[in-house]
Order: sequence, then structure tokens, then C-alpha cells
Amino acid sequence: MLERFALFCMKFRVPVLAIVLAITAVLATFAVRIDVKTVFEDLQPGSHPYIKVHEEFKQTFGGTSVITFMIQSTKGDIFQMPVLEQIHALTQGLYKIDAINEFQIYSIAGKKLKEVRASTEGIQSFPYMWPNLPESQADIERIKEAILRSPLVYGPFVSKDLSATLITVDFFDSLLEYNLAYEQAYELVHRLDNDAVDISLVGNPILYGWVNHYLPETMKLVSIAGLIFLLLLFLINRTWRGTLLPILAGAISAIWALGVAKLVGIHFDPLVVVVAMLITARAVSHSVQMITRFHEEIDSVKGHEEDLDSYTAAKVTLKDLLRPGLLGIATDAGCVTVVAISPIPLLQKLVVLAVVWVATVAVSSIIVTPVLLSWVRKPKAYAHPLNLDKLIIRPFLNMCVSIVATRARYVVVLIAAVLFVVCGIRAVDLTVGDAAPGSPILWPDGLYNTDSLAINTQFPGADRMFVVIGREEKNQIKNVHVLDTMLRLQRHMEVQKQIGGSISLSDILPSVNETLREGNFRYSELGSTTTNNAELIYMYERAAEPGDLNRFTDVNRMNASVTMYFADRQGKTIQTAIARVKQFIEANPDVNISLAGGTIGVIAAVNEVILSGQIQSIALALFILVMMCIIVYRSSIAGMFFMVPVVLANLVTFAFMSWQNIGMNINTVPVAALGIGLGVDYALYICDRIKGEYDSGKTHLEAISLSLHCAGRGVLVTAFVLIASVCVWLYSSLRFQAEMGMLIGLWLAVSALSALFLMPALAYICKPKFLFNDKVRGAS
Amino acid sequence: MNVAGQNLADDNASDTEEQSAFKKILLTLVSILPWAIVATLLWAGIFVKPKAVIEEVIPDSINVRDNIFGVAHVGGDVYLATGNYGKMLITQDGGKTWVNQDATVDVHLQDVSSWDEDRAVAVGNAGVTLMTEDGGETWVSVESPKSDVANKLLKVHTYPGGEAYAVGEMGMIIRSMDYGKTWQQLREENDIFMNDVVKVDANTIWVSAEYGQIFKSIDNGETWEEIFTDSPNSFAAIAAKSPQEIVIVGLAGVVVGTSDGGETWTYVSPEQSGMTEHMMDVQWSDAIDRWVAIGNKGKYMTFTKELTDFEPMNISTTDYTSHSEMEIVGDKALAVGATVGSLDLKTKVWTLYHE
Repeated sequence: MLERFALFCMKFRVPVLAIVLAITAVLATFAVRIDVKTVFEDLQPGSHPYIKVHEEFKQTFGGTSVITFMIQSTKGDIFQMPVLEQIHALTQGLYKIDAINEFQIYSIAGKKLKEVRASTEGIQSFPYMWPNLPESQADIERIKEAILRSPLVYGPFVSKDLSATLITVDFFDSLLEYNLAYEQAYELVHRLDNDAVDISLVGNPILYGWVNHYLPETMKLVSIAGLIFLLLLFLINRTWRGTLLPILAGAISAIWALGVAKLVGIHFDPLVVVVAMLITARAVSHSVQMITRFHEEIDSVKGHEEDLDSYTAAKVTLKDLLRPGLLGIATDAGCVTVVAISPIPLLQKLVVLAVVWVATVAVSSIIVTPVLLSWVRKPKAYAHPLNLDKLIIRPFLNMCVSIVATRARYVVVLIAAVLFVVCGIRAVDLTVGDAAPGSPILWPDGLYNTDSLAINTQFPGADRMFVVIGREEKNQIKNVHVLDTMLRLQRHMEVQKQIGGSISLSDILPSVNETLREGNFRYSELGSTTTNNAELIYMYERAAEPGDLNRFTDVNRMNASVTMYFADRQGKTIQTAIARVKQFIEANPDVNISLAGGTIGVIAAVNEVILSGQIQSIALALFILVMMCIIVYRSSIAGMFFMVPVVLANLVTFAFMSWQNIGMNINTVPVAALGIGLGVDYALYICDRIKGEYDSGKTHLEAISLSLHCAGRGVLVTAFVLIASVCVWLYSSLRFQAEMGMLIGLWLAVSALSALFLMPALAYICKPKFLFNDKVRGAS
Repeated sequence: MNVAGQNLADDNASDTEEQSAFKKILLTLVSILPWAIVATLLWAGIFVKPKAVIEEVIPDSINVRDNIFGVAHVGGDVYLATGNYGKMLITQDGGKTWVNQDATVDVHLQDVSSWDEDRAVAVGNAGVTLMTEDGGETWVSVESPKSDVANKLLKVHTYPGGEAYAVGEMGMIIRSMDYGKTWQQLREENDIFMNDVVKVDANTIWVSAEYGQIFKSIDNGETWEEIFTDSPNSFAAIAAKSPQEIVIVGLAGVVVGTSDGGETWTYVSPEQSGMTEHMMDVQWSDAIDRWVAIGNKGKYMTFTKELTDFEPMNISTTDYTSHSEMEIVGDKALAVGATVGSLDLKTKVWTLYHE
């Protein structure tokens, strides 16, 4: 059937090409309009219970789109006019940033942070310096004293050494545009940064703003990678077709995939560029295989008109490579589909994009490349005289063959076995979530991460997680037992080093109580009865503005938050925190506590999903791969055989990730899943060719040698060219891209090496029937 | 040769048979293996859920959120301290490292005092009174008189012979004469906070209270005299250098003192002393020959026994936290509160031990 299809394509090559071009043209109009952006909600697994809690309470208890500014005095404490002026100006400047939630601005120059004072009229509260700046040194001293007295401000918003203050602002998620917020925030910072202060800023809008900021650079890197790729292909293949056709295949695939993505309403996340590169690499590899095989056919066919040669050669190429090509594509698509089981929208959308993209390779590389090759006029002409084939490639492939032919093949298998064991042990340490402090997307010495470090050194931590208490009945929160449980939860959680602090209604009431008791430190505690606490809340509220308590509890006093501040987002930090909350819930079953919202709550949910899907996705991807090989080659051994290079490539990469402290997070998961499908492509081409040659009557060694010199050449060339161009990513300003570049390079290297050395050695040692079938051979 | 050849052939045949049997088993195995792997993969894909890696968290003896309210010098470098949520601590190295003891209660413990290295008492919220007879290995909660209204006990002090006094809310003054096993109420309850107590001789007991009030008993607690000082503020602590020389400190930095056993009291206003923060504890230091008072927001001050030469200071430029008690031994004051640290009274250097 495959043969008939190949013949059909070649017979109607003009209409086939016309249709492909027409579709490409149409899809191109959509592809150019695709949205390139990051949508944070897409990262959230909507069905996860944490996310449900987060969505329900994010508007009041704090969402994920928070920007945290730190103003640090360059000399002395912040209580001096030049510094206070900048704090005031920055707070005022926030109102000019689009999409901010002005009820969620916390600054000592704002109106939400207040001083609570007792007087003859009861409790009163005053903003520290809102709306106006203090006028005299005495005023400044008074503000300083008031801040020192408030545990809600001194510590969380003013550093313990008084040299820095935090200003945080929340955004309305639905209105937020990361780029705009990033630009406006930095514009504000640059305007106010002077000799008196240093300003640092972090937060999701800033982080994703940085990613977008580097988008032009990313595009530049893509172009440079493309250029290197082009040059190397031209150098090695020595023909224009050998250079342009793979690029064309990659381009057609990209246009189709992006066009379809736009049509079904999927945006393009800049962090996904790496995945796009990976798939394009597949398209190119398949195309190079086609061209290599075409050249070989041309060389073997003699005595015909040139035109006819090209046509026949292209037809044979298409017919012979259709099976390994399609199988490779099908496994790629199948393996990546597994990722869609994950309830994370970003991954689901990415799967759609990736599957479409991979599927288009079937058209762009497998069909279009040979069809175009059939028109080649002078198939034996070369564009330049430098013959790398003769100088490097053939000697190298000869070496591959001689390794298989000699006892060295056992050494290859032994090395592979050692790699299996060593990498297998190392791979177990792979972390889920971020493996190092700071954002793994950016370099540690990048501005964002140095700012993040500065803030986390001075303050309890910039990233928040809230848990919700109550959710059962009105006024539940005033209950002394509930309030005490909140406080005990906070104490329990703060024991963990990475949790710099926590805050809840239970922190406010002791200070109100202490104020009522003439500031006696021994009364810095909750009211002893529920009525007592209701009074304390009432007193505080009477002194405050409506909404001041909203970040701690709702109006019905049914729900309250305990917000924890995290100094880092590392996987193990978050896992430990979540496990400790669960431990506390178990020990306190009488108070209802729900996990978890805020940035850390969302990351916790994502990590849990990734962790529980980690084995699932790898096992299922392998299952799909094995089943496909079993079905196509009608041999259960085939399934096992092709698992070898895949498992090896994955183990090596996982070991590398764990060694380099790269965590398995939402950004790395798709790359890992794609890698499974990717690892097998090269082996498929080589083994399929061995089978073909053996079936046609060659001996074992002859078949292997022929396969290595043809399919092996394709593998070597593509792997070399792709690795060379992937190296460009090492210079990316986005650490994530550099690391993924490294990973992909490693993947390609391991896959290529195992296809060139290990698979032929294994084939020769084991002589599996699905490759060396004497019945088929006899028949032919 | 033929025979031999025959034999050889036979051997070969049996070898081949063995080989083929072995081969068969091997082949069966090899053909089962892939399906076993496929089944394992499917099973792993559907059922295996990896467990999260959780780091072990070992709590410090004193955490950032802990408030330590009371401290007592036991002897040498050994001190006891009490704090919130039933925190009971012991140090063997002058406060650098502390070990938690099991207080068996989880209310805030306000104060602790010891007779010797084995016997001590502690008091706290809800009128809790605890005693130990084995250096804190086991703490026992004992009965003590209680009010129906409020029962927080704020201070406890021990005196030789198993005598101990504790004071607290609702005018509570209680005494134990048997190392803290039983307690008697010395005064009718009324709505006033008793903040500290000191016994200066065999029969004289002084209690500092709210709104500048003090209480005096000259008959070992049988009857009490109410005295109003000039202080408009509440008191927090009282200490005696001798039965004649007594000093009281309190909120907003007030100081009241006598050098004639309470015949006359001198009031030193915050304006005079320069200290406006609450002073929560006071003690005499022989090492610097001055009174030392410590309190809120990292403030402390020293002054002479004549109540002159007031020197208000910060314990450090970075620690602005409140301290509720101290124990002066030699030239060092071990202070507790929101932080725990040691203040060198001569060099005025604050060493922070626990945040």
C-alpha cells in the first residue's frame, strides 16, 4: 500500500505539489498573525483542587500577578527625606501602570498599611505617610517608631535593619498584559532610581516581561541557527537542493503548524521556541535522509537520461523511506500526545501544536522533498569542490562498520550498558519543580535573579502561598479556636527555613490586644474568648477603612487566609511546605483548612500534576513506541530493540539534568516527552535499511555496511549540523533556552551515536529475526 | 575410528538436543520478555505515582515567631526560660543554645523561677502553675487559686525554704511554701493587674500594679496596704537592692524608687529620664553599680541608686524588638522577649543568640 501511495504521489507530482503550496500559502496568512505571548493561567491545571481554591480567593487573598518592588537606601536607613520621597513617588507612580488592582497596593506610603493606636476614643488607625510626605524630622521619627511597633509592617514591609522597604502591587489578571506592565514598571524604576536608593523588582509580570523582552534576541538566535545550519548543509551536501530542500521542509512544517494553531486559537509561548526547534529538527532530519538516499540511487542508476534518473530515483527513495519515515513521525506524534493527559492547558495546547507540527513533517519532508527531487536536472553536479564525504564522513562511517565487524562491537555494547547503569542511578535524583533558587528561566546573574536574591535576603520572601481557613459557616473566623489554629499553623510552617514568614488575621489581633493593654508585650496574644476576638476585630475594623481586612478575611468572616512568604520556588521547598500543611491538617481535623493559592500554591499544583504524570508520561510514551514498532515490524522483539536507544538517550539526558540542577518543570516536560519519540528516529532509518538490504540478498555485514553508508550518512550529517546550530542557544540570555539547547544537543548526540554504533552492533550480535529474516530473503 | 566417530556424532546429537532445549527455553523467555515489558510499561503508566520528596524539618528550640517571656538563673551557666505555647527551655551555656522541655501545657508561660538546680516553678496564662523537682525532666501542673473572671499569672519569684510568690490579673497574689506543690491566695480578688512582686525581708512583700499603684504587706501577706505613687502609668517590674532600696519601672519608661524602705517614693518622669518606651524589667547590677532596666523596641537604660544620671540606650542598632525580662549575672544581662541575647553591661555590646 505504501508503494502505491508513493507511486501515486510521484505520478501526480504537479497537482500534489500545487495542493501543498496552496495550503501553505493559505496557512501562511494565518501563521504570521499568531499571538506570541505567555498566559499565566494556561500554566494552571484547572481541575486541581489548589487551583480551584486559588481561583475562588485570588482577588482578595492575592493572585499570581504580583509585582514586588524593593527600595533600598544606599546609605543608612530609609527614614530620611530623599529615600521617603522616592518611596512616595514610586507608590504614586503605580497608579499609572495599567491593569493594577489599586485596592491591593501595599506600601508604607500607601493607605493600606496602617499604624494602630490606642486612645481615649478606642483604637484608631492612621496611614504612615499617605497622602502626604512627613514635613519634619520629628514626623519622620514618629513614623519610624510607629513602624517599629507594628509586626505587620516591621519585617514584612520594612526590613529588620530598616534599610529597605517593600511595595507590592497586584493586577487584575484579565486585563494584565505582561509586556506593558513590564515596560511601565521598569520605566517607573528607571525614573526614580537615583543616588539615594536602589530599586529592585520581581514578580510574574516582570519575569514574563523579561521573556518577551528577549523575544527579538530569540528570533535572532533562530536566524543564526538557521544560517549555520544552511552553511553546514551546503558545505557537506555540496548541492543547492541538499541545502534548500531541508530548510524548505522545515519552513513548510512551521507554516502549517503555526497556521493551524492560529486557526484553532492557540497562542505561541516564547518559551516553546525550543520545542519548535526540536520539531523543525525532525523535519530537517527526514528531509536529509530523503536527499541522501536520492543521491545514492542516482549514483547506482546508470545509462539513462538525467531527467528520468531523477524521477526514478525520487520514486525509489519515497517508496523505501516511507515506512521508517512515517513510523518515526507516528512515534514522535504518539509520544508527545501522552503529554496531553496532563490537565495543564499550556501542555494540552502545546500537544495540539506539536502533534500538528510533527504530522506536517509527513507532508513537508516525506512527500514534498522527493517530489521536488524528481525535478532535479543535473543530479550529479556539485556546487563546490570540497568533498567532506571523502575526507571525513566516509572514513568515519567506515570506522562504524569496522567496529561492528570486529570484536570492538562488544566494547560498544559494554559502554552502553555502563552508561545505562550510571545514568540510571543519577537520573533518579531528577527534581520535580525548580531545582535552584531564583527563576530557572533566567541566568543567576541576570538582573531579575539578582533583584530576586536582594529582596529575599532582606525580606521573608517575595513569593506567596495562601491557605484558606473556614469555608463552613459565617463568623467562624472569630472563633478563638480557629484563630489559635491559624496561629499554630503559622508557627508550624515557619519552622521550615525557606518560609521567611507568614501573615494572617491572627497576627493583627495580638497587636490590637497589646495596644489595648497599654502596649504590654506580655499581652501580645489573641483574645482569650471568641467574644474577646470579635471585639478585637471590631475595634480594628472601626479604626480601619472598609476593605482593609479583606486580604485576611472576607466580610462574612467565613473564610480567612494564612499567607506564607517563600524565599525560593524550588521543587523540594514547595513539596515540603505542602506536606507540612497536610501534616498539620491531619493533626487538626476540627478546623477546615484548604490548600492553596497564590504563586506558590499554583506552582505546587503544577508540580503535583507533573510529578504524578512523570512516570505516567514516560511509561506511556515508551508503551506507544514499543507497540508501534511491534505492529510495523510484526515482531515483539522489534519493540524491545528500538527501546534501547530511546531509554539510553533519556537516561543520559535525565542524568545530565539532575547533574546540572535542571528541574523537571512545566517548561522542561514537553521537551522531555518529545525526546522519547525523537530518540528512535535515527535508529529506525538505519535498521530499516539493514532489513531492506538483507532482504534483497546481502550478507549481514554487507547490509549493515550499506545501511551505515547511506542512512548512517543522513544520521551523521543531520546530527552534526543540528548540534552545531543548537549550540547557538548556549548564548541565549534566557537560561532556559540555553539549557534546553544543551539538552537537545545531548539528545541528538546520544541518539545519533547509538544509531551509528550501538544499534548495528546489537543487530549484528543478536541478529533479530525482524531484521534478518531468511524466509523473506529466500522469497526475494 | 568409525566407532569413535559414531560416538562423536552421538555426543553431538545429544549436545544439540540439550542445546535446542536450552534454546527453546531461551526463546520462550525472549518472546515473553517484550510483552512483560509492555505490560509493565502500561501498568506503570496507569498506576505508578511517584512520591514527593520531602525534606526533614527540624525545628529550632526558639523560632522567629516565639516570644520568650520569662527567664531564671539556676546557677553557673544554667538558665530556665518560658514562652508562648507552653515553651519551656533550659540552657547550659549561658543562653547560646537551648533545649526544649515538656511543660505538658500549651498556654503561654509568663515566668519561671528556681530554688536550685532541681526545683523550680513556672506560671502563665489561665492561672497555670507548674513545678519540677528534677531540673525540668518532668513538669507537673498543680492546683492554684483561680478567679472566675481572668487568671493570667505574670510573674513568679522564689525565696529560700520553698517559698514562692506569683502575681497576676484580678489582683491575684498567691504563695507557695512547699516548693510550688500547693498555693494559697493572699489577697481578695479585685479588678487590678498585679505585675510583679518582691519579698525584701522576713515579713515585707511589695507588689507593683496598674496605674502607678503599689501594694505592701508587712505581716508576710496577711494584710495589704494600697499606695498610690505619682506615676500616671502602670508598672511592669519591681526589684530591691536592699529592704530599703527598691525600684519600680513601667510603661512609657516611668521609674519610681525609694531609699527608705517605702516611706517616700520618688517619681522620675519619662521627660526626666529620657526614656519613653515601656520598661518591662529592672535589676541592680553590682558590676556597673547601677540599676538596669530593659523593655520595648530594643531600649534599655541604666541609672544610679540615687535615681540620677539616667542613660537611655538601644541594645543594638538592628534589634528593635521588645524584651520582657532579664537576668543579670556578673557584668552580663541575659535578656528574653521577641529575641534572646546577652547584653554586656560594661561594653554595652548586645550579642543576639536567637531571633
